Amino acid sequence: MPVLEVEAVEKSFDGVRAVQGISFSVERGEILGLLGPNGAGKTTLIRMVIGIFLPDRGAVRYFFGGKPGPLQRERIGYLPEERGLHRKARVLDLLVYYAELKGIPREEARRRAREWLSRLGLSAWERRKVEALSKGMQQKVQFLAAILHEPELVILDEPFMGLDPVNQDLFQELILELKGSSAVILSSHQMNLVEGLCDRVLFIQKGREVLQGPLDEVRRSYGRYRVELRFRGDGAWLRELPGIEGLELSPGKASFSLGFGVEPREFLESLPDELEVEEISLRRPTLHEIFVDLVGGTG
Amino acid sequence: MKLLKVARWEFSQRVKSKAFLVTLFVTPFIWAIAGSIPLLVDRAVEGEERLIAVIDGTGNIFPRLSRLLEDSRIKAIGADAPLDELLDDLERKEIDGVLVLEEDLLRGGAAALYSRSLGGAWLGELRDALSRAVSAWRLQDRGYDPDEVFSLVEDVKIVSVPVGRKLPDPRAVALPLGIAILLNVGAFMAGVTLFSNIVNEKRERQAELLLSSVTVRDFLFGKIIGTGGAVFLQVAIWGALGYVVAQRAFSFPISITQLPFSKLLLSLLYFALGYLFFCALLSVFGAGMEAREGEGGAVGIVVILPMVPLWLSGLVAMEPDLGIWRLLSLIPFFTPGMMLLRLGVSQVPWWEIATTLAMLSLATILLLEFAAKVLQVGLFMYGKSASLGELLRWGIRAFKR
Repeated sequence: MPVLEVEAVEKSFDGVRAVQGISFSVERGEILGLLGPNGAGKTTLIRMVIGIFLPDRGAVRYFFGGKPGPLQRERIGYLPEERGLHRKARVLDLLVYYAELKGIPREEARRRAREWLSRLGLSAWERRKVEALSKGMQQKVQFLAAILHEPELVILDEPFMGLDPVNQDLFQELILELKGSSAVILSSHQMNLVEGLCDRVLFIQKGREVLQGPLDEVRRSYGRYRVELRFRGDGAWLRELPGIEGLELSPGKASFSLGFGVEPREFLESLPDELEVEEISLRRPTLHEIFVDLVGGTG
Repeated sequence: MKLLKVARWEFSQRVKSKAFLVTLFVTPFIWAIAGSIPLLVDRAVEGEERLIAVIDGTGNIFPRLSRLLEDSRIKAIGADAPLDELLDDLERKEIDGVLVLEEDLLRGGAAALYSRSLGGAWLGELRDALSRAVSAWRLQDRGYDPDEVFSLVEDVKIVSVPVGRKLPDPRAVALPLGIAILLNVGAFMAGVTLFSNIVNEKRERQAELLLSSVTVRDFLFGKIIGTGGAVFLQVAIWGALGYVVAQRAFSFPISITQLPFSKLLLSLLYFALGYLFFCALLSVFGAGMEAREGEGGAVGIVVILPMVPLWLSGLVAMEPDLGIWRLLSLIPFFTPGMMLLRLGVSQVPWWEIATTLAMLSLATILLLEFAAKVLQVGLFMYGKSASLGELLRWGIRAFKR
């Protein structure tokens, strides 16, 4: 059973339709990638899920503890895209405050906060004010505020934004850990980071769903292999080859996509016998390429 | 209750801040200094004596003038030296003025006064004494007894005795009036603090995280209670300090425990409703504001409106039951301020209390609901401050849902 089910939700602001008829669900033990360019409607969709906005149409259903029921904010963890912490508050106090608002008793909240701060290397900063922390540290604190109460549904809006590569790896590790006990919605436009984490993806553009499904299926169904080729001699023959698109040709080097439905074996058999191939690579399109392709095509 | 958790957080953050402690201790000092400056200046000035040299060309005025000035702060000395010499003395600050009385003064002419800084009260005293001395000479010259004539033309005094109401003892109304003013000031300070808090949270994007944990009502009420609690703690400390100082300095005829309990209770009720009304009003504007610097004229007016009764407090205390004050008491913007003042100094009829309480309660409930609706939208509208029209539209649209 899903933890969250969203059915055909719509939301407009002053006549501008921010979200139009989007449906999806997410289960415990699953990470759903919510992908789309800036202004696609991701944040509005998330705000409807966490009850900040009411949808104009459609429904948001919750199944916390495996039972249908109303929105329970205590069971949701949220890392907003717009980062904002009380700058004058002390780190530990702030984490305890947010955990208390999520229904965790104060002492337990303090214990958990200390444990997590230690794990993220922030123990020495627990009595410092938020304003004394670096941006990366603040991001960690905000991440902790979202998960300290062990929510059933975790929503992370652009969690990698502003992080250095080391912390990006750390966050990836933490998000994968969350998957063990929660349903996770991960909104981002950093496809390379999302790709290794998501089980399913939902692409939205201009408030509408563009593509949705399990990651492998999306990549497979999107189906256009990328080919990188190094060869000897004249490559002009590539122009005559059926079933290839987006050819970029330079002396001894070519890159292109196979047409929709063209299988690698089919393509390899179509290569002329006289071709002296030095190196060839075939791979499924990355999320980034699918994203750019979709956004480019519809935007 | 999450509301109380938000309130406790707001209260503790505010009370623990340096700004709170600085304001708590520095403000009474500023008040004490500001209050004592005029007193000190007055005392310093009062004690000063002015020395006037009088060249009496009439040969008749100086002795009486000198006698008339005996009990004043001006000391007159007769001078035989030429005017130029006396002006040199004046330049060297050995004397404060030179008064020259020519012969024609007795026939309606003017006296000349040379001085560096003899103005205001001193000049008035000197003029009165001189007028009396010259008048006395003229009367005597015509054969009258000046003292007898002056006693005959003495001013008649009128004592105003109002019918139907006793004039309040200024010291007796000072305490309830002081409480009313303090509560008004507290509500104003807390409302403005809440407004800044909401604008800051919106600008620094803190509200979104909070609203993923609590409803917008818990958010708003928690802030109102927490911010108000901290500000009123401050005001209560100042009030207690002021009360102790005033008791010792002016010895009020009644103490706070002698004030009628029902009046105190009603005052607190008006104050609480007024505070909620004011906070709700400012929250609406705070939600639409992108930055505090950008606050427009509308906010300025909203901030000023509840202060109007304070400016009128002197007039209200004198005639608390005037028609205009009754009318203002019915307008929710002014109800708390007007009623706090009127309750402090008079017996307001029960039907007026009931009507104003009912109207203020209704207006407050509606406005709080409206503020919550506007906050729900306004806190997430970034980029520019909302116009009054937009704020109204957001609220009305949310109400229709």
